[in-house]
Amino acid sequence: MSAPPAIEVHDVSKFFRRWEHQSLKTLLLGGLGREQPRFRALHDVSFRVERGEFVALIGPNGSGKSTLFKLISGIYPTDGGNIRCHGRVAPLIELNAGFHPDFTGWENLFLNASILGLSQREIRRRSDDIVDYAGVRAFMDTPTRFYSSGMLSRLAFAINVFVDAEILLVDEVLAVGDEQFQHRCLNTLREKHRNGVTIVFVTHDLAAVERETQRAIWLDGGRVRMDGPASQVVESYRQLYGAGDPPKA
Amino acid sequence: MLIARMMSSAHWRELVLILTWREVVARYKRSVLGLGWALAEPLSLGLVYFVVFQRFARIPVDNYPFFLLAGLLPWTFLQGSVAHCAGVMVENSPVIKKVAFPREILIFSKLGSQAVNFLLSLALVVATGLLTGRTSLGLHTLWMLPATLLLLTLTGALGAAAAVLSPYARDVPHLLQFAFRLGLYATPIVYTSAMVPEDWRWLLQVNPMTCVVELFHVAVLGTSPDMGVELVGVSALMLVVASAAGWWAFTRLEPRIAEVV
Repeated sequence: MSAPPAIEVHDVSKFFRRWEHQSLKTLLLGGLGREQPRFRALHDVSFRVERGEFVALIGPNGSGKSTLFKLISGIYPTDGGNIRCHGRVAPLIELNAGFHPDFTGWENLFLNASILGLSQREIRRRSDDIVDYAGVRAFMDTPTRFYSSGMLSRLAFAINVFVDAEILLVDEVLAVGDEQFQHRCLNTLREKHRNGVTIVFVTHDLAAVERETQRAIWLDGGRVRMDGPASQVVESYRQLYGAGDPPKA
Repeated sequence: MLIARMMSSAHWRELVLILTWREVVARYKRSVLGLGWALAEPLSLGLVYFVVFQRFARIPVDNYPFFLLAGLLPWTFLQGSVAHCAGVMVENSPVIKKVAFPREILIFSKLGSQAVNFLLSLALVVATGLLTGRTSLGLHTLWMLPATLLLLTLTGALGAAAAVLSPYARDVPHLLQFAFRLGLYATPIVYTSAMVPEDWRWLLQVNPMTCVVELFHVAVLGTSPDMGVELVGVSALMLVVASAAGWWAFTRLEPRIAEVV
């Protein structure tokens, strides 16, 4: 197998400015935050995800999971190191946040899917499947600010699923929607995985990690603390944080 | 270079068109006056200036109503577009934080929807001029092409700069309002550049909008620019410099915009 890995993360660091002082001068001419206080969200993180892998990313709040996702999907630039992805990436991050509240379901569907990289023709071909999957057909002409949060996440999840990305970044989306929809999400992810889609999955649900994935990466304070078979990583994680409930988001 | 990055992909071109169209439609769908609003500002300003400067102050300019409109249309386009662009990143922050896409698309679609208004109003003014016999068509009308091109260049660049600077500094919208209010009088819109005394000419020269407005005067009225080629040339040079600076600020700040909106 000489196929390139789906995701290559090589020595990646990320800094955020603290925004304690700001002025237009430092902004444009001051080397963008070189002299401003910053904190380091990621420390030389490296790992590879092979094509078709189903990987869990675990770690307490503030360990850098979401930041890492935003770097992989290209929303933030890296500050050192590099990231390479082979294939279309669909970030299932802050799902219902990508909608414009004044637009109808249809308008948001077209807008969202086309920002995610689908052409109008591709969207038209899939729109019925998307709407049926989300189960919101009766409300597609209603502006989405009147949607319930469950409807929003179902529509958003459906759009992302039907984008047909080769790489799915799933951030805590299973925490939204009712149990039935969560179940369907998980089934869809399993099916995607069987079809060769690469999935990286952020969750605090350790049972789901053990059940669904073969491999887990444990981030702690912006560093990779452990990377290996899901059962081993989860066990060490539990030992550290106690066998009870994992730290909640 | 940014334009090249976006135009290289048919997909992003399509997205600009969708966003532009959506904005144009949204504006007319929810208002009674529709396109009328696009004309309301230049028309009402034009009426006020006409009464104040020609009826009261007796400013000696031929065909003053059309002289005013030829300058006010590009000016209100610039002002409106840049003001809209200033809010575009914050407005779209949910999408910017969630998906990676060329953010200049947001600028181009704002520009596109404002340009639709501008061109329709311009056509309306020219048609009115022809019907009333106050203006005529001819070779001079072709000056509208370079004038519009210069206007779009400047507006896009200032809009892009305003868009990326506003999330960092909330002063930008205030600053813009102030600058546009003063800038209107630093541009030969209510007066002709020939009226400006020799020791104030530099003001028109450093103003990048001078060349745009003067070319629109030529195109609409058919008069030859009454201040010579030199004024238009220097002003056009300033326009190029200002546009380059605007896009420079954009390329500098755009990559990290998702971290601040």
